[in-house]
Amino acid sequence: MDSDTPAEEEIQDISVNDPGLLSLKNAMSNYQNFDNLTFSLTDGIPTMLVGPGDVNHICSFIKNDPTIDGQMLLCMAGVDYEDYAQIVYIIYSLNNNETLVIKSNLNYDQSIDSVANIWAAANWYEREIHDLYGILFDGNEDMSPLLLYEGFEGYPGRKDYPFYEYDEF
Amino acid sequence: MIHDNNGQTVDMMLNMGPQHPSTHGVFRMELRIDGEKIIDVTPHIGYLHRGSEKLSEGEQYHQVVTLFDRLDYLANFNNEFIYCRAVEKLLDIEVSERTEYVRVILSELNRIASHLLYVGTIGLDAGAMTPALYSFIGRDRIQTLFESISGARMMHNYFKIGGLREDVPADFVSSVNKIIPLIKRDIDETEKLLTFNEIFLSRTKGIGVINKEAAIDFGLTGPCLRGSGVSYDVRKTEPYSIYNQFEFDIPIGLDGDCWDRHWVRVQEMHESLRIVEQAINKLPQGSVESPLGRRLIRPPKGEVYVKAENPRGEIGIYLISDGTDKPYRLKVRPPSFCNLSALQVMLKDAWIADSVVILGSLDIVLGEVDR
Repeated sequence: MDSDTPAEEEIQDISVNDPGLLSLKNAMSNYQNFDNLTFSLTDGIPTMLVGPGDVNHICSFIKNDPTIDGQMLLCMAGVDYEDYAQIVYIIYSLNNNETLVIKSNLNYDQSIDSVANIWAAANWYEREIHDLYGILFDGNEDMSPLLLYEGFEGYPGRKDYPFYEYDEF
Repeated sequence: MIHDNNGQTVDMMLNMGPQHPSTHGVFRMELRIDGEKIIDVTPHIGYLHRGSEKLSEGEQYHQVVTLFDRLDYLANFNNEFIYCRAVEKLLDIEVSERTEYVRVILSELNRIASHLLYVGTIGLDAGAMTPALYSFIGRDRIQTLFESISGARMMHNYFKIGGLREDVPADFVSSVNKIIPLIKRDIDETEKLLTFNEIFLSRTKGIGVINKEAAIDFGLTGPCLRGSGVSYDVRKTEPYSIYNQFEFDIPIGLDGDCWDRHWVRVQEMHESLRIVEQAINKLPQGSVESPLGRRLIRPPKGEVYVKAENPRGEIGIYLISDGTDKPYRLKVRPPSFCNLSALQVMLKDAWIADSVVILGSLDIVLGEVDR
C-alpha cells in the first residue's frame, strides 16, 4: 500500500493491451455515444462505465449485437460508496463464453433506467436493490418490497443504516 | 369457484402460505385460480431474509465463512469453497494441492447429498413417501463421513482461507473408498422407485416446460438450464480449482419439463461419483495449513468476481475490499433466486397439483433466495 500512483499507471497500461477489452472497444465502436463510455478492467473482466440515462440503450445494444451477444444477465449488484451509489451489471455470453461488466454511478436522488424489458431476470434484482438501497428504476412498474416487509423504514444496504442497534418490530 | 348472480365464475385468490409442507421452506405463493387452474401467481419471498450481505460487512474475513455455510444450507461445502476462492483470489495466494483435492472431494460428495434430498422431496411432492426414506440412507452415510472430518453433519466451518481448518483423519481415503459403492447402490435404489415409474412420468412429463430462450432470459442456471437443452456448466466452461484434471460428462435434457430436470440431477449424481473416484485415488500428501496462519487478513483494495457450480446452479460472488479487515461489499448471486423468478412463466395454465411438482423440480433453497 506504499505509493498508489505508480501502481495505477501500471494497471492502466495492462488494461490498454488486454485482448478482451480491445475486442469490446471494437464492437462498441458502432454505438452512437461511444465517447461517453469509459473502459477499464474489473478483475480481468472488460468493464464499461456508463451514465444512468444510457443504461437501457447500451444494454439493448449489447444484447442484440452479434459479436458481443450479451444473452444472460448473471448478476446486478448495488454498492453504496457513501456519496454516490453504483449499480454493477454482470452479463455473460453463452456462445462466446465471455463475461462483461457494466457499471453506472448515480446519486441517491437520481433514478436509473430499468433493464427489465431486456432481460427478464432483471426484474427481481431491481426490486431487491430498491428494497435495500432505495434506488428507483424507471420503467419497472412493480417496485413492491421483495426481501423486506411492507412498511419497513430505512434502507439497510446503505452504509449509514445503524448497524449495531435494533428496532422493535 | 365463486358464482355471482349471472352464473359467471370469478377468480379466487388462494394463498399457498409461508407455512406449507410443499413449499420447501418459508415461501408464499399467491395464486389466482379459476377452479383448479392457475391463472396467475405472485411469489412472495423474504421470510428468511437475515441480512447476510450486510452482516458480512461487519465481520472479519475469517468469520464470514460461517455466514456462507448457512446461505444454501444443503450445500455447505460448496458455499465455503467459493467464498474461500474469492478471498484467495483477492489476496493472490495459492493453496496446496492436497487442499484442492480434499475441497473437490467434499464438494462433490455434498452435491450428491443435496441431490439425494432432492430425489426424496420430489417423490413427496408427487405423492410417493418411500423414496424419501431411502434417499436419506445415502445422505446419512455422507453426513456421517462429514462428521468424522469436520465435527458436524451440516454447517461445517471447515474450509479456511488458504487451506483447511485441520487435516482429514487418517482413514479418510479408506472411508471414502468404502462408501462409494454403497452410495452408488443407494442412488440406484432410490431413483429406481421414481424415474421410470409410470405414475411419476405422468406427473412430470410435459409439466412446467420452459424453453431455451426463456431459460436464458430469466438467468436460469444449473440443472434447470441444462434440462432445457443448454450445455452450460461452470466446471467445464471456466474450470476452477482442479476440475480440468477430471473426466466427467454434462447431462442435458431435451424438452425442458420437470422430468428432464429430474433426470439431469440423477445423472449428475453419477458424474459426481466419478469425480470422487478419480480424485480419491490421486490424493497427494502434504500440508493443508493456510499460508496466512492465524493472522488477521487485510486484503488489498480491489474487486473480484468468481463463479462456481453449486448443486442448484451457478453461484457468483462479487467482493469489494477497501483495504480493511472487513469486506466492503459482498454480493452473492444465488442460483435459486433466478430459478425462482421463472416460476411465473412455468405456472401458466397449470393445475394446482402441478404447481407443487414444478416448485419441487426447481429445487430451491429459501436460505439462498432470501439470504
